[in-house]
Amino acid sequence: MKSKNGSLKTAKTPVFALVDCNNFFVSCERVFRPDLKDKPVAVLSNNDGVVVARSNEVKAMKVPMATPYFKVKDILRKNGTQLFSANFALYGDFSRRIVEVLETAAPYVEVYSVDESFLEVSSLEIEDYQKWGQELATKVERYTGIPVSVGIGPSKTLAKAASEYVKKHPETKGAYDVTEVTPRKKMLKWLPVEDVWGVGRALGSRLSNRGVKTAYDLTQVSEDWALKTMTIRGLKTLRELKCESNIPLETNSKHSQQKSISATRSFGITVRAPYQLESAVANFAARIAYNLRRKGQVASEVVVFLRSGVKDVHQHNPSINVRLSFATSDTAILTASVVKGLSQIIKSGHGYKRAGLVVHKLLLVEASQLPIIDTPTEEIIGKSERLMSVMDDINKRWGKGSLAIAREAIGRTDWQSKRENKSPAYTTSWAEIPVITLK
Amino acid sequence: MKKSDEDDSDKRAVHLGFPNPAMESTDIPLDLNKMIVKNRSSTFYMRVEGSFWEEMDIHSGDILAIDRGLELRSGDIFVGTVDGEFVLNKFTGSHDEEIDLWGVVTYVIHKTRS
Repeated sequence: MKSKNGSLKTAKTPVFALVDCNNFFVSCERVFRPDLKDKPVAVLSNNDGVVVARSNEVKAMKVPMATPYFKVKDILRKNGTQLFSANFALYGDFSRRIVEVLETAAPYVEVYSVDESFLEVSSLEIEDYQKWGQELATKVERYTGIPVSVGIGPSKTLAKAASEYVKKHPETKGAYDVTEVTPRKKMLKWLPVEDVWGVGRALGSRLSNRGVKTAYDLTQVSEDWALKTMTIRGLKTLRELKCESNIPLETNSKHSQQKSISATRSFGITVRAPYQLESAVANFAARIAYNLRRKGQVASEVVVFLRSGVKDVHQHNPSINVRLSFATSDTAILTASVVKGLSQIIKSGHGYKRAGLVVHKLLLVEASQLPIIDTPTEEIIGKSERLMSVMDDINKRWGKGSLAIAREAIGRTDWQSKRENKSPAYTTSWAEIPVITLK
Repeated sequence: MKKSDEDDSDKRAVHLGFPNPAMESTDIPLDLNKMIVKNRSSTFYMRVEGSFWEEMDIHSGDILAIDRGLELRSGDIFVGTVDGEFVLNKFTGSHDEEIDLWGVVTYVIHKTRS
């Protein structure tokens, strides 16, 4: 069933579903705050006070994604927006819950990011994909409280486009199936070319200038033209839009035992904003935690690293080895830990081209209650001490020093008060579970 | 997880030729999580504050285990929302239009030692 590199081979024409959480961080915050239903809600990044999630009400105020908070403070305040500082432990826990629901619905799941998963469902013999998708969306929302959009299509790119269509078309009731030509054409003609997966704003505007304005226009160009204008990735995109699946589902074999798992990405551009790096490592953490769980493994250490571009004059290639307080495959713990680790190594104002995570010292769940280090050789003791000193350093800084991090990153009292808007660890700390007052 | 354990013990029984009494035992120490949490993805906890439900043996400080994945049945105690606030209610069979269902209470955890 699976090829050596872990990609999936199916004899049938594949059918992909993309399950994308609607305004994910905002939706997580609302689960335990029913008073915020239909109210404007925005989530700001930990580090630099940038808007990283918006409720539909905030989108309607024309507040763009990734805007620095101070630029939109007035309009947000005027409209009574509830602000939160990002709570990655909470989002990680919801991510884990949603993936678990998806696993009950599909044989193959690829966790693509903290709020998106691809499923491959051709083996399920589904008669009505639209109905299946709507039922899946209903189930995820009922189980977790998080609304999702389900796009279904013969390639990943089409499935992703269909989920975009769902978000802008409430009449789809949570799902849109583009396996048939008529709904597919309707969607392709609606979708701006820059919103096609793998195209993006820069290439999108270049294409737009050449008359390729929608996804449908893109399906009309020749392969030669696509290759010349958009490189090999663009050619893949074109084929995907024309129902030829070129990007396989990436699943890892459940039974192969690995000593380490990594997730890295080159950005293609220089990334300076901590919130972007934060979101990148959060996505890696969600993927890695999922792969650990699939293999019945837990990790006790995670390395977070950043890399400058090869040709950059000012090189800064930091990494940090974060020792987790216990071996785990919990998305919430892993995400919160790597985001904190990241804040220790980012150099303010410095640009990075690549980021990644490596988890190592993996154990099987069954063995995880044993001490992590049981035969203390000299080498291990030395290593452990170095780890502990890093850990102590982190603890020291998180405790009473956490103010210093905020000051270093922002230097704005305005934002410091917003940091207090971090919601409780509703699902990961007994001391912070929601309270129901009976009167 | 459980399934593969069983598979393993089957295999061992074959290889050993005669059943090992220790291997045959499928007894696993009791795990409260397995009893209380039927659905890991849909189970949440809330802490009770206030004495309003004492007649129903739900006391201030108790922890409710709530499963959002369950269908509401007559006699269920459930957490709902009214006007943006959480409320606790007993489902008698006909649904109160004003209350939105949040999740079904499956267990009440009460600490007896202070």
